[in-house]
Amino acid sequence: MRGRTRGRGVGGSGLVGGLVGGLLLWQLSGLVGGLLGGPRLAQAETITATPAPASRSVLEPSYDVLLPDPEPQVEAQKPGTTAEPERSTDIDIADRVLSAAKQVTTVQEAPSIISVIRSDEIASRGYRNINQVLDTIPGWLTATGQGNHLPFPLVRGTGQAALLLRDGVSMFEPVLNASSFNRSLPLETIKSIEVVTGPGGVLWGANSFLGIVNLITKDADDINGLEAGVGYGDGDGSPQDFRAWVLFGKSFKFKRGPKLSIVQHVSYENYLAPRYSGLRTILRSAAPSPPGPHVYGDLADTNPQRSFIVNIDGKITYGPVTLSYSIPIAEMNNSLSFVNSITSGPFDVANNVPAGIPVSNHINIIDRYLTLQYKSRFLKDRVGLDAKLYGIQFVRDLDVAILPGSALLASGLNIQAPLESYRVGFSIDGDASLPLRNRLLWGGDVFHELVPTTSVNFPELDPARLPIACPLESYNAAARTATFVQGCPLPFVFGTSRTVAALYISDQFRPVSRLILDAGVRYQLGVGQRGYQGALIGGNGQLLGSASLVWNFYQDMHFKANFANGFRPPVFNNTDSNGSGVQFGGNRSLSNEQSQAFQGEWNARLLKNIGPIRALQLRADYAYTELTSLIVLSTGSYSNRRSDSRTQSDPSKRYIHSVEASARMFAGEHVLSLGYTFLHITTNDRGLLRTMPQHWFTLGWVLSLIPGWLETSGTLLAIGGYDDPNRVRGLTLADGSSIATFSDLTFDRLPPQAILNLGVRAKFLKNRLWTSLNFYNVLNQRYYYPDPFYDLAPTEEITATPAPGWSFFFQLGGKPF
Amino acid sequence: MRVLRLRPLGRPHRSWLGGVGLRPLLGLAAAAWFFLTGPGAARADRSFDLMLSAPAVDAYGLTVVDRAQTPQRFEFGFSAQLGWSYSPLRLTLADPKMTATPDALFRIVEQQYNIDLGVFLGLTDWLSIAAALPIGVNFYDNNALGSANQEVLPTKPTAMGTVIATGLYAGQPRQNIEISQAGPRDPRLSLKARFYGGHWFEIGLLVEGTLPIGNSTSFLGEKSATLRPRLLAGILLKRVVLALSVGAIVRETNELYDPYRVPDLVRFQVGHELTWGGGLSVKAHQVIGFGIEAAGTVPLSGEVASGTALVLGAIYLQPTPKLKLILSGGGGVLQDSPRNADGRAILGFAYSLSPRAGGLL
Repeated sequence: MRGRTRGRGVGGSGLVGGLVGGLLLWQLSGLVGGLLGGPRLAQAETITATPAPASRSVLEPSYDVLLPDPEPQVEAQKPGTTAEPERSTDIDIADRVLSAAKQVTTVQEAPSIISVIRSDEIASRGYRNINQVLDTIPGWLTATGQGNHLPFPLVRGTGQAALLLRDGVSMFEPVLNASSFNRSLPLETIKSIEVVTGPGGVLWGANSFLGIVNLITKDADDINGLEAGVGYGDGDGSPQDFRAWVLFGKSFKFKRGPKLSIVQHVSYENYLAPRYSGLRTILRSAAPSPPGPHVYGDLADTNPQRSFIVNIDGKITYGPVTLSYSIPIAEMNNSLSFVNSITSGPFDVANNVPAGIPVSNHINIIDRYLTLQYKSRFLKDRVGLDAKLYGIQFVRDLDVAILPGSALLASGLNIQAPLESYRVGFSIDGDASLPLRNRLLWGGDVFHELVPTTSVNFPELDPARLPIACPLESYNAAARTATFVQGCPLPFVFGTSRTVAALYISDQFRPVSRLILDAGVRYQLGVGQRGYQGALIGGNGQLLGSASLVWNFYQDMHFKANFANGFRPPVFNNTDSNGSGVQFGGNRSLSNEQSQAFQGEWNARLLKNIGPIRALQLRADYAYTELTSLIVLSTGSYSNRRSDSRTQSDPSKRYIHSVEASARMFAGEHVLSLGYTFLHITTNDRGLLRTMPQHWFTLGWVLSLIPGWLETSGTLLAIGGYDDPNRVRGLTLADGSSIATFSDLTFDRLPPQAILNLGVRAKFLKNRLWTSLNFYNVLNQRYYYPDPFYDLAPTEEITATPAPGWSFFFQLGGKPF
Repeated sequence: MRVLRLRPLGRPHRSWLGGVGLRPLLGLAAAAWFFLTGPGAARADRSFDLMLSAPAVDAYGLTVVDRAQTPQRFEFGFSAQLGWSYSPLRLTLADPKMTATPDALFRIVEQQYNIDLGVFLGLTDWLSIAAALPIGVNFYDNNALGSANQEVLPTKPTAMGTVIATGLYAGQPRQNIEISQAGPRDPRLSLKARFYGGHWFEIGLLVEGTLPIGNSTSFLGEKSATLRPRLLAGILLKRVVLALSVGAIVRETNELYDPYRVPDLVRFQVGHELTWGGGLSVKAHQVIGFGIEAAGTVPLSGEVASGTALVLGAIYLQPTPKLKLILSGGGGVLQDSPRNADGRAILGFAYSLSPRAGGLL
């Protein structure tokens, strides 16, 4: 199956197809016929916790939550019995799930497969972006799309299937499904990351397709003062990277009235995108059709402009009301563009070398939001309420170098589309303790999302030389000459909107203390210009249901079984892209994509406080996941049909068998973790999905060299081999350029990979000063990301997508007060 | 692909998991083994793990020679070993740059660095498990390695040339991807049992298996899973330990053919092998010891297979009873063997949270 979900509409194929296809024909004709004179036109567990020191760290977060435990965990001590040995408090706290399940529970008892990564692990392991964190969770793996423009985590081998939440507010971007899984998310503000593997549609609604990543930010009491850090790093994987941040948090208590808490964070980062070398693209064609030849020049290095990210975010809490905001400003240039082409910048034709001028090549992916939250409990804590009013601006500003400079087109070719979309909405979640050991969760959402009509431009080029139908400014009939609008503005995506309303209810029932039964149902309605198509109840609705069982069958061992489902409505770029411009054609009849999973999990905590071993946590789960009506590209436009047939009405499907396992051992002050993922994916039109590794391991450790003072950490990600359908060059021309035609196909055998990260971290002055040095990809493994789309006749990703090389980052930070 | 099964090891004297016993676990392990070694994708003919002598599985072993001594019950520890080999693989191949392509001796892998990360856990006082995730970095002789995409410019009267594959890429499906320099090697899982451990003598059995997850396209992994049982024995004197081992490696045979010879000519072959090892360590002080170790293989099958022999001198440091540092150096002594590393240096450490009395030395 092509599996081309919405990301394909990121203008990738469309842009490349419409624009570059024409360019190629034009340029080739120039090459042959001499039409171009001179320069011419021409890709913790999951359960994560580092053992806490005996005394509370000043950096250690608190766990103040408004929701109580669902049920008492320890029964009253019976006369004549001895009390249970004291549990390892820090490990227990690390197992707490605060909001991914919309209630306070534990990873062992949560009705879904949940992993939690806490802030102390983020710091001690030296993670620098959210994708490094997700890579340690079984079932999750990082990949990128459109060169390295779109970083997105694969969950169970499926791209763009994870819903990003920030403090429980959906950050799903409604035009491209390009969530901000990138370095714009400041990790120092995060208290914990709660990750659900598998669909979560009943609680979280649309787009919780195969996973949920909930970033929970620190509260003022977690910070209680001022923290700051500054660092610098270098290396091919992250060159010349400077970053500084300040985080302030303080609570103020007044004689009268509620407590006032303030959190404010500011960070600044300035960096270069990873360095790569490769053959310079001179000419190319791409989808929709015909996929013409790809012409390569000589070896070139990437040369993108510098990037910067400024994050200004915080929250103000007064009693039960919290105002949260995030206002990032960024220009995030990448080194690879569509079809993984090298962005080498303008070309010095006279000397036949790159001009050495950095090129703009970015899709700025940042989210700006404002959230007003009311959260409280009533009736002796038996009833809870969490209401949010929010507005989000999704910035996806494109200025992409689709062709590097060459002898044929010295300046190269960029396109620009200042894409922005918006969502405003209101959500309410409640819980209530009911008689007969029932606990009820209920809630609903109402939101409106829209994208205004956005044009694409071709700056600094004479529109008359572009091989597309640029808008006319004037036409002289007598002289038969036309003047085109400068920049050739064409609609990129047409303006549209959607209004969504949803209600859900879920009940948790404990017939006995060791058994938890959950069941829930959600009805979600999508109306407006792009309401849901062909769905249940009135044609615009979506009905979801889930059920689960958690059985504490023996001591600290639990068994879970659950059924969960989710859905993903088509994004606006699938429905309203301009197929006559530079995109694939939009299809306003697309229906929602569906996901469902049958999952079973066994988890256990063994060897508690035996010798130096404090606990051994184990988890293993199996899931059968089925995805249907996936949106794919078919004959130049988007479709829910399987991609190998123009006549059949079968929906495209994907069947996923997965095994995810993890082990975590707390031994003394050391923590050792191991994760394993098995993945087997088949589709109903392509058979086995060969572009995903079937096995991968993660090994992680934090070793205390000098307790409380010096620790070392590391992560080893070992990924099994996989294939990638690509083109190979078959012909060489007399000038040294080479050509890969549409029939030069191969399955590149991507070898197993070992990505090793190592770090050391020292703490001084009772944790008030710390420093760390981390090395990433120390083997300089030049590996390649899996291709989640699996095009057997590759048009957009015609070579494997390379991943960054090695880098290091040194940091100095502290908490002066 | 062959399917290897664990031999039944019998019921242990006592169980450690509330009477559950080890039999279900062994069954589970055997099932996992079967599952992981089942039919898979065909691999290229570079499926050799050149790291001949893996580090000892736990902190009680020497550098590359294991002792029969096991970690005690619930003793947990970890180890890391950084190694360097010079010329771990050299082969005689046809040299396409010479007229008529005569044979020449190439150092296919000129240098190899390896990192072996391991953990071990004592299940009982006489039985332990261990696992290791090894990785490696190879530096190749590019003349022999060739290129996956060698451009051949056009010559008269043709207007277009071609892109061909050369060296070890020749004859294989066209690829954009070059042979990787770094990658994972085959992970190792092992079970060690000590049958007898007295003041003067110890004897045990180590059953080690590797999973075919390493980078078998880049001389970093085997084609199939391997099973490596070893009988361990030790003679213990006051300050001297003599450790001996003999065993076998059961694996699928793999052959590397000359890329330029017609008809096909096998240049390198590895199949089932006997293994042997011996080490003598002398504890000069409670914090330092010295030793000499030797390990090697004897081929059991294959017409062009050859044996190996490695000799190392070692210094063992024990700054604390929980920590052991190892510094070893040496090299291969069979100059005619393709896998004779001319030089070998190893820096390792092993750490145990609750070592046996006397520490790790």
